[in-house]
Amino acid sequence: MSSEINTARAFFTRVNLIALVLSIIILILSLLSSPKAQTLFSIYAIILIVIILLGHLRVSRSSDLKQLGERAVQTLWLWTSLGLVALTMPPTPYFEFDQLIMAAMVIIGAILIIAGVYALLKIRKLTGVYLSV
Amino acid sequence: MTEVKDYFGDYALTKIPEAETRTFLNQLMIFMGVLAVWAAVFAGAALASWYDAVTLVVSVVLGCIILGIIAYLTGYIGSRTRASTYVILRHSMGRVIAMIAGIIISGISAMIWFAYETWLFGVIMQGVFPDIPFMRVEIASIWGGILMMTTALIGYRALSVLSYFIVPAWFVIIPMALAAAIDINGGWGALMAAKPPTPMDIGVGITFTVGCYIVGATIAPDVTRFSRRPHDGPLAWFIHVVVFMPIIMAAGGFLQLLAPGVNLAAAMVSLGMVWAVLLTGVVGQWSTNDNNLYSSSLAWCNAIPLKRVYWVAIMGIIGTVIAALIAFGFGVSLEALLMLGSFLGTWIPPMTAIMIADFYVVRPLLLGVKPVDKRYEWGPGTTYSLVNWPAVVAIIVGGFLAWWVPQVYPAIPGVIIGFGVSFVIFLILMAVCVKMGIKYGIGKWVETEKGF
Repeated sequence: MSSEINTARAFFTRVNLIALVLSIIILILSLLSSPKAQTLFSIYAIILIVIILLGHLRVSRSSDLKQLGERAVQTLWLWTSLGLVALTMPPTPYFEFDQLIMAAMVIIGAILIIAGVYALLKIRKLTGVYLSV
Repeated sequence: MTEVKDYFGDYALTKIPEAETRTFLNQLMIFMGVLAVWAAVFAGAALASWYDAVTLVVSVVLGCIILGIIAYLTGYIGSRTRASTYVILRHSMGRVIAMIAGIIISGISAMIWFAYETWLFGVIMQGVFPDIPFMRVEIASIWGGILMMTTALIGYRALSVLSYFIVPAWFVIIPMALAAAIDINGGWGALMAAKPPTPMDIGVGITFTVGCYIVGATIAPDVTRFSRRPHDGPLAWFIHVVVFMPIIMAAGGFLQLLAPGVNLAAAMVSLGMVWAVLLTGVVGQWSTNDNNLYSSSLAWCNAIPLKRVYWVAIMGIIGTVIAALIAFGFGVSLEALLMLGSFLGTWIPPMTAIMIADFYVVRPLLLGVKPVDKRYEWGPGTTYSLVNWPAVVAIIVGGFLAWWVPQVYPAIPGVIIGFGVSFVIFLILMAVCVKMGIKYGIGKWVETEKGF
């Protein structure tokens, strides 16, 4: 049981770390963008970072496999869904994103979604919890 | 209620087993998934003709607090008994009245909303992609209806997964879009200075807000029955309505104040947020409408013993056909449909009042059943009366007054009248019956092995 917990926790930590790095990149890109995008996308990135950090904290404190699985799945769902924001909003002309930054944001959004879905399925397999926790 | 075999599917008529219960976040996501719909934004826009920005927010928040309290009370019944709304009604109203009440509350009303939202889905699709034949309102209503049936067919698990996927994004995209729309329409200064064309007393807005979501508050047990801890589901309902519903309604209202006639979806399209509109329109509408169909199927299971998936299919097909007929203009009047929904809605607050009065007052104080877990019991062999006449009298009087009084005195809120009058009448009649030894239940119904 303990090795299963360690495997699941290690996998979650790795994926969550990737999401954290991507979120920090979104924050940096937002700060480099037009004033119209700066505030809104910075708030979005900060929400994303807070969710990831809280998720890390909760998962690292979980005591059994089921609890770990549930907390991991919840965190993964939240940032996977928020990946949709980075995928759909930057192309909006209102935000006046530089083409390169916009493309980077959209790619990050897509990575968050793909990585999130993969991690959800993997965590489900490792811990046996429902995706509908 | 002893655990019996789940014959109808998704525990439509039986208690939710411990292993199937869900977390607080799950409940919050499901409820917010119901709220994540363009109709809620449009409802907020309606308030903008009466109020300035501050009054609009105050009226919505007050209305939402009332809704939150009502749903906390109904939701708690669901989370303690782990039974659906319609099964809960069996004890307070009698078995036959619970069937009829369930059909009124969700069986038909929720199906009408399913049809309306499906049609609206088609309208949004055509608005975003006017040149694509597949996105024409007539066609999109049909494939949209079928799409929305899929998760309801699978059941609660699918509703959860869809909600988890869309809700966090929806509630970030809409405020972002609102901020952008406010900015291009004059900014926050202009919003604060904007005056409504026909100012109205704040009570009307509170009633309007309560009326918008009273059905949701009533059927909260359909979801909170899955609640792992007794307060998880009710608290999730309270938070989603008090924190998030004002944001959604304000989004519609604020834009309407700044740019009358422009709705947020159209503003988002004009800003170039086509993909965001598509996402919030398609998946948001879906996460709301599958809940409509889900609740409708639970109500029908309680009335006619057919498996839940068949009811989802039947109601889903009827709703989709109605939506398509409205879109094709084949003689189905949307206004007539909404009037029927509104008329049925008049009778829902009285039923909510009976549910709350029976569980929190009649059982513990009049019948002496103090332990919360013992107030309602179910299972094969349980006997119910067919009709609890005090409940019927209270519903008829409260429902009639809720329909009639606002026609004579428009300032008096029908929702509050219906709820309050029924609550008081039911308690008085039950107190008289219990104290004087008058029989309040007529006939006898014995629950079958299948929970019917």
